[in-house]
Amino acid sequence: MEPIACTACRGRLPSAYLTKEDFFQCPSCKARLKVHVFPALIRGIAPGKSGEAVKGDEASCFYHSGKKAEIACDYCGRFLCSLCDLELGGKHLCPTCLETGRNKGRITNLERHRTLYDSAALQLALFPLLIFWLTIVTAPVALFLAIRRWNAPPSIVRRGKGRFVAAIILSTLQILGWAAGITYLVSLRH
Amino acid sequence: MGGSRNTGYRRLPGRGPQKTGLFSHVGSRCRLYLGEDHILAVDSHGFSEDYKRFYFNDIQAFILRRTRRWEIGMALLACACACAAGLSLASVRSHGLANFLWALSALCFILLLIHGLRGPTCVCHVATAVQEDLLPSLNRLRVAAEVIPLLESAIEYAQGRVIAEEVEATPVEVSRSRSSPFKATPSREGIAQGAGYRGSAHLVAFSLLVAMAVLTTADLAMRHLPSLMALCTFLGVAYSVFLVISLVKQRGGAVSGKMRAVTWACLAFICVSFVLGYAIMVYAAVRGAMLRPRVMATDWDVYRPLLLLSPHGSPFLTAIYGFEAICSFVLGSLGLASVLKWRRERAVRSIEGEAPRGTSMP
Repeated sequence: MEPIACTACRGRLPSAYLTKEDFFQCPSCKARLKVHVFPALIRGIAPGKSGEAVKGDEASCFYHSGKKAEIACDYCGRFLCSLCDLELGGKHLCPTCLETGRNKGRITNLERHRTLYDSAALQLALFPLLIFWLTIVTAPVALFLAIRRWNAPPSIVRRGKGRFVAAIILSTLQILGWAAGITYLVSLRH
Repeated sequence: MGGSRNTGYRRLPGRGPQKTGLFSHVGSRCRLYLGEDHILAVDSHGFSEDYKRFYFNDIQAFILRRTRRWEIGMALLACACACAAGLSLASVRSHGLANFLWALSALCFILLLIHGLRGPTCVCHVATAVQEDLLPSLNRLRVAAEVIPLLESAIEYAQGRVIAEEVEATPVEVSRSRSSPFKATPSREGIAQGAGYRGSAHLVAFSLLVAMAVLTTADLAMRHLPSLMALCTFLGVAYSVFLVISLVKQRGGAVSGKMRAVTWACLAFICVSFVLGYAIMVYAAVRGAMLRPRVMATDWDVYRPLLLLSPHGSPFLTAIYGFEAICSFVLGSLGLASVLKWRRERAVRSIEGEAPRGTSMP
């Protein structure tokens, strides 16, 4: 079992403290702690597999010809040995598919960062309203961004095009407002 | 509790800033979402989001630690509210200033109410086999008490239930330890480094603070002596130097938690003092220039009116001097008491043959 440390002083907590139901004091720094432990703490990390050698006419791994195929890749169907079998979210992948999926953003579970163009467009259409003359520049930019990035993936935890729609409506209204204002001023001069 | 439409994620209560730097957490909000087989920590920065996943099968423990942020926040806000209300009562001559101070007092009171209702604070970490990560959204005990049972049931569904006897019977592998990207201070290396420290810098800093409190009180009582203020300024500079040394020394974790907390409170106090002092200096310089208009060529020309400025000149100045004297005395006394207590405990431990606090491993 790996040691659990106090998050204040990094002192190791005795095993007897880990199963306490209520808050307890760290023996080193007296910080009040509560620990919820799970079986993974006792189990630790499972040892890795290197794959068995091929016997007779058994199918071999696509990447290691001397090793026995255990499973097929869920994406490309290539045979994989235990060493090449990478499990992710219940699916079995080969290293190439994993790399390709990560680079091209096909596997959502591997994504670590997303730029939210819908939020950017909406904020660009909304906040400059505080200093309204800025909208002569920002409204066309917001409209362009919303149309150009219409198909960009939104947040992982939020679906829908609501922000894009709101940005388009707001920026269009601002552009129309400017157009009406300029037309009115020109008509006054004439 | 909100749900996220068609995403397979369920939003969990609570949100908090990601503490990865002094200014980076401004505008950054971290939230937790419950997925099919993992917890998703989403760190939003306005135009972008960072994601971190903790799979149910990998989670070894949640470590919850109570913090004093709630109590300190309540005390500070209550003080600010009372000070603003007191000053507004004192400033009867200026209605504008009185109204502003009443508004400030009301704002502090609203913040106090909000802070109070949100409840006591905590810090929650999730431990896996390879890392220990902070969950910034679980920063209130009430939220943590609501969220952790939900996560527990999901994790227990994936891993099974842990048996207390099994945990106690399993030997601990001393050689292994997790790495933490949000490493809590002090680190073990730091503990080893700070083991020889005897708290001298803390003792000097807190003593200087008490001395400053005594001098400020004397200045208030003796109807202002410029020489006392000059001495107080000199002590203030020395105190700042020793405070910095104390903060560096305590970084190793060789001192007690109370000493650390008082030292940080002293730093906050000195920051407030500098801001107030700067405001008084500008006021004194402008007033001095108006009374005796001449070119202020040297620092002494700026500093001289400050020395001559009597705390009894206005209720605002009296209140500031009083506030500084009280805070200095309270913090200095608390600090001295904690240093002396820590030294006594340290001496007892060294006599008993144990390592001093912070170096001992249970």
